[in-house]
Amino acid sequence: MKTLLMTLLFLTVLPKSTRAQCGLDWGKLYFKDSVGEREYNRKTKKYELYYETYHIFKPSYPASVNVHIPFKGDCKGVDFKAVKTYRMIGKREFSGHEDAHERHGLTPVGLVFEKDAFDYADVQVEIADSEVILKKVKIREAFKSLKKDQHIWKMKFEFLFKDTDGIDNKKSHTADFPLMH
Amino acid sequence: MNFRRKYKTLFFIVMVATASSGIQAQIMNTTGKQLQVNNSQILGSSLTKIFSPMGSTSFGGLDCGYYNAKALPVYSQFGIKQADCMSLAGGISAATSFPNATVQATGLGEQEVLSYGEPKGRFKNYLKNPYEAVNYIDIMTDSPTGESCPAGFYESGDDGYRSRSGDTPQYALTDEERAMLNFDLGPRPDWVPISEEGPLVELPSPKDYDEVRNGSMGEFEMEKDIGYYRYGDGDGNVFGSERTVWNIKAAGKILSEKGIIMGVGEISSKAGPTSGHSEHQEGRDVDLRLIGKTQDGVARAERCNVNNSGCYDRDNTYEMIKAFIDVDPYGIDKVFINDPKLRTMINDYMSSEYGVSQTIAKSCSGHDDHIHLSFKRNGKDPDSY
Repeated sequence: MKTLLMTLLFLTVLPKSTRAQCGLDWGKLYFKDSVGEREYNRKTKKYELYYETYHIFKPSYPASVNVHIPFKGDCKGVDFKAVKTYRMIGKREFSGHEDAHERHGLTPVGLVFEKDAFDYADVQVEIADSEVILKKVKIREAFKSLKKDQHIWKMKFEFLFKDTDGIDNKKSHTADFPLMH
Repeated sequence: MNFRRKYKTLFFIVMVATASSGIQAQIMNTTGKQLQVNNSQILGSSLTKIFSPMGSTSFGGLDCGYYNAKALPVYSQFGIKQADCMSLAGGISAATSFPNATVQATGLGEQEVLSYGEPKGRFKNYLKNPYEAVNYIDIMTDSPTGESCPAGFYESGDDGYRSRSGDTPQYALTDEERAMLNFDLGPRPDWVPISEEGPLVELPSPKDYDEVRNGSMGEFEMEKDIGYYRYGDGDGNVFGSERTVWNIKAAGKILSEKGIIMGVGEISSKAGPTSGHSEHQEGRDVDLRLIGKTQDGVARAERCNVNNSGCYDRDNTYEMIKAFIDVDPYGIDKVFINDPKLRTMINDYMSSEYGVSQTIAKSCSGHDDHIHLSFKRNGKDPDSY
């Protein structure tokens, strides 16, 4: 009897202990252009679409990106419920001086994130072999409701998801949006 | 394409022949497209009449050049840096009498004029045929010095004197290039301040042309012919002011003759404002890829970086910027590119060819892999200098 109980306990626990835990690597999160730019391939002599990757946005970024979150282990069971974004809005100018062209990357000081989230509609989630991909986040849509002289200097992405163990979890990532010429 | 080239040539011949005979009228070309060579249209409503382009060696022309040159110090008080005289003789007269003055003149036969005028003065005969002359000419009348050009050589405008009106300043294009642009694209739209700007218009992609749609020409072939392609279509920010779009098309046409194909990125959204940008708000800013190394006789814009010498071709990229300058030299506001050598080439060209001493090419963070070119937004009409 004792042996039978031990066997049942072993069989119950074993799958969980041997199964690789889902390890989302939030530090390696990156963005990838989801629309693509036309690029000539000298070898094939044809145009192809090139999808640029951004760990940090430089003073050029596309209208729509995919958010890639690399992971190790088994993350098939991760259930992404929502992506909320919070905008940090300030004046649209290069550090207070129109000709300060070298200051693209500088965010004005003293700005805070909005309290209410800006919701993107229809963000789809794909769990690939080693990445969770949130598809077609139309980042520039968040700019459209701004006043004429405003710019979003930072955006905080908040990811709400249920872990593989069924526990609700929340992670966030902040991205800078330098003002482009 | 043979069809188009044939009519370009025919059109050129018709222009020269018509202008030489002194006829001022609208010419209908054989395709039925109306070509504006009517002086009052070209010069605007402020000039009531215009003189004939003929008589370029008359004494009137000589005197006109003389007086314009003499009056330049006074004109400069009104922001006028250059006077025009539609006369070969006028140009010679000005150049020999006032070596420091710059007077543009028109005439027939460039070599003859240059050899005559250059030894004493700065004198260029930019235009080689009478049609070209009527496109831009503007003569001072009742000049502030009290001296006038001889009667009959021009007709008065309504304000006595003016800086210039009409189509364009002189540009370093050949006659054939200018005729081609007028034929293919029509006259360049007038510059207007932002407040008077109409709806923005789309820069067509090669695939938008009928020849590509109906299959008579491939997209690649069309791209070579128009001299550009669009690379950022996904965002849809491909709308510009009428003049910006004309300028892009014109630069493309010039470059296509040199085997160069531009890559045009963001201009503006259809409504104008383009999110994320400080500029690109009114259809007057254009992002351009750098031009890559020539392959199979074609130098194509590529996703190059100024630091990647294996891809980036400075000379070809300079040709691209030069084409933009030549089609609208006084309309260019600035050029951002992080290649100091290219910047020097651009600024030197503006200075030597057009007398613009201000620095238009500047460095700017983020502009290692593309050029940002802006046309003037507000302020003075760039055609009026």
